[in-house]
Amino acid sequence: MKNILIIEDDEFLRALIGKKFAMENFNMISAIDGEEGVKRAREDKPDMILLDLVLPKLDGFEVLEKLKADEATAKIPVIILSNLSQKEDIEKGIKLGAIDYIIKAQFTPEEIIEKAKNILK
Amino acid sequence: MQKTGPLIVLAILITVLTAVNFVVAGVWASVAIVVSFLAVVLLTVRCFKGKIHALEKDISILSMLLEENEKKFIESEKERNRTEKIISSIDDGILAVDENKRVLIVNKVARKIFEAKPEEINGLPIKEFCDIYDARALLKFFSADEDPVEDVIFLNGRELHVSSLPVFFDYGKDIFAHGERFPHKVKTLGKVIFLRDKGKLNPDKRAKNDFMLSAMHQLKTAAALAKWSFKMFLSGDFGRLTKEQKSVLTKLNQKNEETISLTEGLSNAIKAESGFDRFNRESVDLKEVVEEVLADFKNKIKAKKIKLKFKKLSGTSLKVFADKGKIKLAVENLVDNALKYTNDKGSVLLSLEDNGKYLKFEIKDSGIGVPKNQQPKIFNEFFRAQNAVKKDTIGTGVGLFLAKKNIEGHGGKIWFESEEGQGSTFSFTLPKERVK
Repeated sequence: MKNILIIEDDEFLRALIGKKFAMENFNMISAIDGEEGVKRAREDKPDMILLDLVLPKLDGFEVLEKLKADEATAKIPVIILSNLSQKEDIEKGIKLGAIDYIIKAQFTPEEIIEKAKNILK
Repeated sequence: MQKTGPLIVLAILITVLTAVNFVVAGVWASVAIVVSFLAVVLLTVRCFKGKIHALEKDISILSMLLEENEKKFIESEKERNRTEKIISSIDDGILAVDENKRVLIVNKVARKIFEAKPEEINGLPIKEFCDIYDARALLKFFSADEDPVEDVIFLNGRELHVSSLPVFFDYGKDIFAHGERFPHKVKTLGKVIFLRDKGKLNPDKRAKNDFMLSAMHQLKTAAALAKWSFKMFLSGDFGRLTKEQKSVLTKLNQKNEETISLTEGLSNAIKAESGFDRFNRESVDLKEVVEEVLADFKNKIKAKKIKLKFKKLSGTSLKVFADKGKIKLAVENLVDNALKYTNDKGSVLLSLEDNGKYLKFEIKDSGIGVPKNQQPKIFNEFFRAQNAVKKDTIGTGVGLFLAKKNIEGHGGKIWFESEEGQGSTFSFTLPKERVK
């Protein structure tokens, strides 16, 4: 069973996406702010990270920088899951090492699962 | 002067004869020599007197001209100093170009707006200047048109009220221009544009826009959550649904998609208004952009049974150097309007033309048209024509505002022709990509 870490401050969103991934036989780990997200990634070594950008304590870009700077977490694929839809944000996320950038309002949970499965193949 | 010639010849003759006589007649002859010598001296003096008089006249004219030139030089220096002082003391940005459209003056305020250094910009062709400083929206103010132009543009996070004035030189006011050699005429010397920083005058606006953007982000998050919930309900993740429950949730989902689209449009408008919307340019095929947009609207075109035709050129480069997302948004908004305001089974005709330096896009519909009295406001932010609101209550009135900002931001032009009840034709041009 693959482990997915979701770093997201919205409880409802965490629950929804968590349920959908659990239904597809993934094991979900969650973090509610940037600092906790970095800690969980280092300790739990998930197979993939779903990362929001607007987060308390450390924002998503800072989290991504820390993850990529640390040898222990640098290779974990990170999908950014955000509603920031400006080209600059998308380019910044990809430049910092995210494998994909999903604009929440433009994708359905099924489509997110599909993307995750393709990356983990 | 002309009369002295024969006299000199006569004097020389007398001198020669006298010399001969001297040999022959002794003392009498020497008296003749003295007399003839005096005659030569007198005649020479008379001759030079004429020349000196003419020279004196020339010198007097020359000194007059020099004096006049010196006066003009001092005046122009004073004028230049005065102009420099005035320009540097003005709170508005000033950008002037010469008759060859090369940068002549950029005052301190304008340099701050463009974040430019004087040594980098003086003498630069205005097109290059606009390319370097991401200010293509300014190009329309430097057109060959001699009428003043006024508009509001957004640049480097600032809202600028821009007005342009052509500068003329009136030969009639030049002291040397009077008379037959310089007929009274006027010559265009260039253009001056004034940039009033409206963002600076209204410091609360940025805070308001930041708040609006944050509110839009939260609205979008809520709408995304609703979308995910509806989708999960509809795919049975929360258990089986009755037919009626499915139908209600499907309609709710459609309404929610409209909300997402509205918040997206409003966010884009706020960003464009803030001037934070920087363009990331690349080589873009305009034909491909139009085809992508039409593919996105395929279902809508089919549902309304619209007769749609896209007349495109083949075998010619239809590339522009532009931000693809921004251009696509402009095309999307124009196509969306044409489809939205055209009745079922109506017609929409799109075309792409190569006008040499520019590519021209046109979309003609058989829709409701724009009432004449509301046409001047059609590109205003949040404006929707009354007949448009009656036909479709959903809309933010930012589509055409954004299309205008995005097209003009690339140095293009956008315009329309319309008659109420007869349809509208919206057109825009974009500069073609320069092939190196």
